[in-house]
Amino acid sequence: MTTWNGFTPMARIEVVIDGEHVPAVRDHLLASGATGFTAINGVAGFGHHGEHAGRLMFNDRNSLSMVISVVTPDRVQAIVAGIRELLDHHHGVVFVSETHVSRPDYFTA
Amino acid sequence: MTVLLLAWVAAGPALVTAVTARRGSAERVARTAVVTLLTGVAAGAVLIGLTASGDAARRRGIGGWEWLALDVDRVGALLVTTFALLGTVVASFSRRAFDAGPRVADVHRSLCLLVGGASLIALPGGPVMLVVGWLASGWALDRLVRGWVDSTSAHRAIRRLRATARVGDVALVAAVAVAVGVAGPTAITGSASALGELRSSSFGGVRADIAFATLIVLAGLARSAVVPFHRWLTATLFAPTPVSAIVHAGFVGGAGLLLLRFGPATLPLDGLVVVLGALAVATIVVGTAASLGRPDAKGALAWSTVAQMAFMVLQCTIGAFSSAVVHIVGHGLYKATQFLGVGDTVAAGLRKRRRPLTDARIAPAARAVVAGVVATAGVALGLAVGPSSLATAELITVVGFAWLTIAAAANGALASGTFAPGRAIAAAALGGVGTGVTYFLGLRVAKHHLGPSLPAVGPDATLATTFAVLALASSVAVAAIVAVPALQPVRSWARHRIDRITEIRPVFDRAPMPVAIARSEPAHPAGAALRVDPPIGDAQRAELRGQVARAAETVAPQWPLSSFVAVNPLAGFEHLTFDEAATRSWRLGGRSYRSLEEFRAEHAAGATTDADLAWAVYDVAFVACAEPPISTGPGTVPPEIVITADVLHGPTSTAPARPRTELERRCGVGTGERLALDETVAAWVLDHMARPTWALEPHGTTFWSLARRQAALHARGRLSPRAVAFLDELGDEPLDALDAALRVCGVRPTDRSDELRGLFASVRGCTGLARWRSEWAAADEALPALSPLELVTARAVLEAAAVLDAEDRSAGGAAQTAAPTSDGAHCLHARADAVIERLAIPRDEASRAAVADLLTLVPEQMRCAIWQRAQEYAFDRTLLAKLDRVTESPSERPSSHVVFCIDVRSEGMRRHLEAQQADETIGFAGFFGIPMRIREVGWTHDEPRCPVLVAPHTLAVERTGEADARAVERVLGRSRRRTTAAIAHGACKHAPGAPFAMAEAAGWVTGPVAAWRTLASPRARAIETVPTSVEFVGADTDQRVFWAEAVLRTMGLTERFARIVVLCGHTSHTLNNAHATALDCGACGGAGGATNARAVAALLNDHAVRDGLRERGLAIPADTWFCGAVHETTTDDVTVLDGHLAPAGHRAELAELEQRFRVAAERQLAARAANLPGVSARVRDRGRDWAQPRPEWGLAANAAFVIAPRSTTAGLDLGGRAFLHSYDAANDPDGATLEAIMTAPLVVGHWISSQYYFSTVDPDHHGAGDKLLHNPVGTIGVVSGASGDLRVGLPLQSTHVGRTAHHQPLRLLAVIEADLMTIEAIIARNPVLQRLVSGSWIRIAARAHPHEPWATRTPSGTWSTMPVGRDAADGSIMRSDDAGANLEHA
Repeated sequence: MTTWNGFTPMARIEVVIDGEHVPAVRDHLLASGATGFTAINGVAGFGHHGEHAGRLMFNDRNSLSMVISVVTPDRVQAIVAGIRELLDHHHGVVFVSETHVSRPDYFTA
Repeated sequence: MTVLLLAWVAAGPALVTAVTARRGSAERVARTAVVTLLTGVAAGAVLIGLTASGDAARRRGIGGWEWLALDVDRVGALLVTTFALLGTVVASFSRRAFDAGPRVADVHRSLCLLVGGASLIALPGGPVMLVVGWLASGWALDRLVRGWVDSTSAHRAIRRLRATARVGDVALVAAVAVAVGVAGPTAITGSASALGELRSSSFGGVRADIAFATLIVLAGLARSAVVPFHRWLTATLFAPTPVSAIVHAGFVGGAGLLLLRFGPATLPLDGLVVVLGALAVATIVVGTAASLGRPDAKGALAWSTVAQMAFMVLQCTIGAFSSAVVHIVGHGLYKATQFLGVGDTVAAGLRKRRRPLTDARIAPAARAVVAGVVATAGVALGLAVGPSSLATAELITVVGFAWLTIAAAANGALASGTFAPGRAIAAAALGGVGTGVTYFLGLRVAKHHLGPSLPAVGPDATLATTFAVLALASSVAVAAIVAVPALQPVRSWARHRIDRITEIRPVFDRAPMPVAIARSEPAHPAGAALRVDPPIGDAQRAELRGQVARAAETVAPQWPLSSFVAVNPLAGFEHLTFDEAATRSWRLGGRSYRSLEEFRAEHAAGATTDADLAWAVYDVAFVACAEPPISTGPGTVPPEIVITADVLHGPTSTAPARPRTELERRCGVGTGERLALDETVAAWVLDHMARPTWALEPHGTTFWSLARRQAALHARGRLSPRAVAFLDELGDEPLDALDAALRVCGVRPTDRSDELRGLFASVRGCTGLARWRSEWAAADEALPALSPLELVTARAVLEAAAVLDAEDRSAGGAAQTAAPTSDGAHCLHARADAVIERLAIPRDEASRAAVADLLTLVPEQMRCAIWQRAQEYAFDRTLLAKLDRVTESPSERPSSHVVFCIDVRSEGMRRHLEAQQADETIGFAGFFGIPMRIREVGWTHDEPRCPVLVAPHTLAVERTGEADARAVERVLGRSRRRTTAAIAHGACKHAPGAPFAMAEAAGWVTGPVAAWRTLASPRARAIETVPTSVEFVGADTDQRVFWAEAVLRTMGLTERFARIVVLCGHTSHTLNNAHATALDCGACGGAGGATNARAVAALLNDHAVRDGLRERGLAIPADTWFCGAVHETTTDDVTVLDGHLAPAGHRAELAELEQRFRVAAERQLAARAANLPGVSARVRDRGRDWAQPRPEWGLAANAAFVIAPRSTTAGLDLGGRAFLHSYDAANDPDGATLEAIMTAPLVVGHWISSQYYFSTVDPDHHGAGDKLLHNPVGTIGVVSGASGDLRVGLPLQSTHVGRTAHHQPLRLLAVIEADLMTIEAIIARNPVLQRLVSGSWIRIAARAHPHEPWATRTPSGTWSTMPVGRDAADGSIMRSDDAGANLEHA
């Protein structure tokens, strides 16, 4: 359904997780119907577990990463259910928010 | 003389070795066996000489009484010499390979007996000699093969071997009884009149010669593993490699030996010839097909032996006796070499991948034509010089199979792509024609020389020709099925049939059938129709996928052996404390601590002091120590004293060494037995990943579709209809199948995670591989895809099918119930009694109960944890005492700076180099700070050469200058020739029909080479330098300057640059070592680091880069020259690789530096020699010894990681126990460099340390077990024995001598010279470090300045000084004062 400015509503899922778990998140997203994702490695910040370093010089796996994916709203529940399992014993958070996209066909399988 | 020689050949070695075994050590027995077998070779050679002269083709040996007669003829002399030579090679190999194993003496005794027995069969002799030889060799085989692997498959294979052996024994004894009973003992010695008498007599209503010949054939077929006796041979794969070698090389030729002797009695019987011929052809097909379908090296060799023996039987059946003798000798020598060198499989795969390739290729059709022409020419020219009069059948086999061999080899050589088309065709033509001529010439010599000693009879010509044609045609048919794509349906069906015939896949075998009693919910009622649940929804799928991903983390990823990377086997539990992880691991079957007995023995030997133990008691059992003292009437005893007494003297638990796993509990299978279901899934995984010539499914098939189809195929006819229906209805989506399987198994949703963890743990080698493939492998990885989800689904559906089948079976009879098992309770009262007695506490019930209550807080595992901590305290105080000194950093400009990898093996080299007072050394990760891919000269691909934690940033390419092109091509030429020959050989091995003539011809070459390699122990070679240069491509100057600055600042080299700065990577060259890459550089991704060193050196010599550095405040003097070098850790040679690029003014200094390297290497070798066990005294040459299971100790003994200026450790002998990373906090004000070191090299050091730790504490579960049982699967990994899961971790020989640990398993101690606040801040902002430190996976000791004492950090984040050195060892139990540096743990 097209909105006021010609954009289509979608759901944006952002997962902040240790770099070593990015492959599992990636596989899960793709298997759950996401058509793509963006991964940003070396995310720095401060939060529940205190300060987190940014990019490490010789370690791409143990710095925080953010994985962003935009999906149709009907897929959110399934995707979040799987990510909850992954986050059960690891550092990390997941955010779900509404977003609007100009090319909805890019985000539907 | 002949008598003495014969007696010596047949019985000498066995007798002498047996006598020595009564008095001598195992080493003496082994040495005696080698020497006496070698004299057997000499005696055999003399016999060959004696029988070769004049007409005396057969000489009388022991005569006078026909029962014990023993003669020798030309065939017998040749065969006994071959057997003695094989025995010598295998015994000499075993002497070094078996290390200090408990069965060395037994193996060598049995080996001599086996050789003697085989010799008695091969020599014409009386009935007693034949029977004794037969039974003795069979008995020796039994002793050699049994008891090495404790698994269901191994026990089943041994049972099968024994049953088959009994059939053969009974048949042979009966045959001899018939012959002797009818015609007297001369019937066995080959008297023509006696044979005539057999023909004219009857025995029990059957013609005596028919009965005799039938029984002889039966005995021979049983021993030579001809269908239907083919299955016993897999038992030999559960024995160590040398045992497999001698069995496959010498023992299995029994049918040939009997048919050579009793051909005159056998071949005239047409019916028997038909049976023999048919069985031989059938076995050729089965053996060839099974061999092509095996992904494992030993399995392929074993089934190839089956085919080879059948070919030998065929040769005897058609009367081609001289060819059969050539085959027995050639195949024996060839197969022994192949088995003994099986460890080279991984290296061969790497060589093939890295071979120099040319751009031009020959089209497949053109290759086929050229290969055909070459083979035809080779055979035609060979016939011209070959035997002049060959019967039609023999001509067909000789010509046909020789043609197949030459064509396959030529096609392989042309396909290798190593030479330009013109040269490739010329080489193939030369090789093919040369091989053909040599082969036929050899046959002519054999026929001429052996003819007088061979039977002069033959079968019916038509029958013989028919079977020769059938054998050839069947080989061609198999080749067509394998090669023609359109025959895929036939290929799948035939592979499935062959698997069933050979029982390669032990799926749903009866023995370990799960009975599924301990389910949480009642499963489907027996006999009820299976209700297929509707597909689950997206949310449930997603949840299950998440559960699978989480559960897979139970098992650490495992890199293939082509690039071994050390990992913490419990990496999946690093979010827990070490002790919690140990408990989890224990539940899944793995130990995390050594036994109390081991700890106590080491304590008694002085490894720990009472003070260490007291510290550890406080530290680990702090909850128990807080309990009130035990009242003893007149006084009290503090709890720590009670606990210490219990730890020192309390009885060990009567519980099993580890709890039974879920699967073991469920299935009622004993500890250590591998389940058939696990084996089946592992076999599918290996087939999928290694892709044998005859794979289960076509290329590109996903693992789940392979598993689904195979499960359905294998279940049909074996499992109940419900189980078959369940497997048939599984869909393409693994998640749905997994969900269905878990429901069938009655697993509640809340229990699914536990169930999945158990399933993953049951195939942990394959799970590790799947995790590597799906999470760590590069995007261009050539190995097929494999996900943990597919793997666990395959395992779960097998479980579900087995559950359904078990329910149906139990419905018809007595219900199977798993035997109730008990993990055993700790003998608390026994422990309390021991403490009471030791501390002289009054023996009343109240005291006993109080002590027992206290000890409930100290369970079995905690006692081990206390000991572990005590050993770590002992190590910490000793190391920190050494480092507790104030030294000044040098201020003079040294002659050279040498930057070594932080690897513990460089510690000694650095010390010995610096001791010569000219050079300074620096420790830095061996990839030298630039994550890169490399492409060496001749490669058309590139490979990553950096820590696996980081992705490569750039590409370094090795180039050849025009001036040096010829020199480089000389080096490449050797590689081309070598790999072309290897590929041609591989093509022969994998082309149906081709291995027969190849083995006949190759064995005569490889046998003597193997003898030379084993007996002469070649010397180590220096690393060859190639006049090339290495440079980064695709990076602009700014980028290069950035890299260069990062490298120099991180390694702390920013001033006082020497005139020569050597960047020294390291590598290790070892032969016949499947785990060779485990000895290479971990920082280079499990490969050698030479090219990294050269690339970074070239970068730092770049003028533009230096200009950029100068602008950034980092001035490198104009006279400083950077140079790449490599440290060969097996020989300790340091080879300068860039010598040809050295400026003229530096060459003299470089030569002096090389001399100092040589001196350092000599000193380091001398130090290592004292540490290395075994019979090879030449430490430097161990890497070239193909029998050496431990070419070097690798990183064994590692225990600490020092991050400090070199001045802190310079001059100290740290015993090769410390990774040394140079670091100067003064040059790192913001801690960025320290953070880089702590988050990468330290983490990798922890992985390495953990890999050694767990491989030592549980070599059978966390380690790869005994190297001699390893069976390589491509370049992927190894299994132990004939089948099973991939082994994880390090081989036993990397951590142990025999069963005694050499490596002291300690968790890594990080020693950091830096501000404590900085360290804390780094830990606080890096979760990986928080987990490792607070979970007690690593310990940290630090000081901010050399004048301060070392402080150690507790897991909770407080710092305290600890007493160090001997004073501490003898001191009181009191804790030292707090250092006042308690920092809040973020």
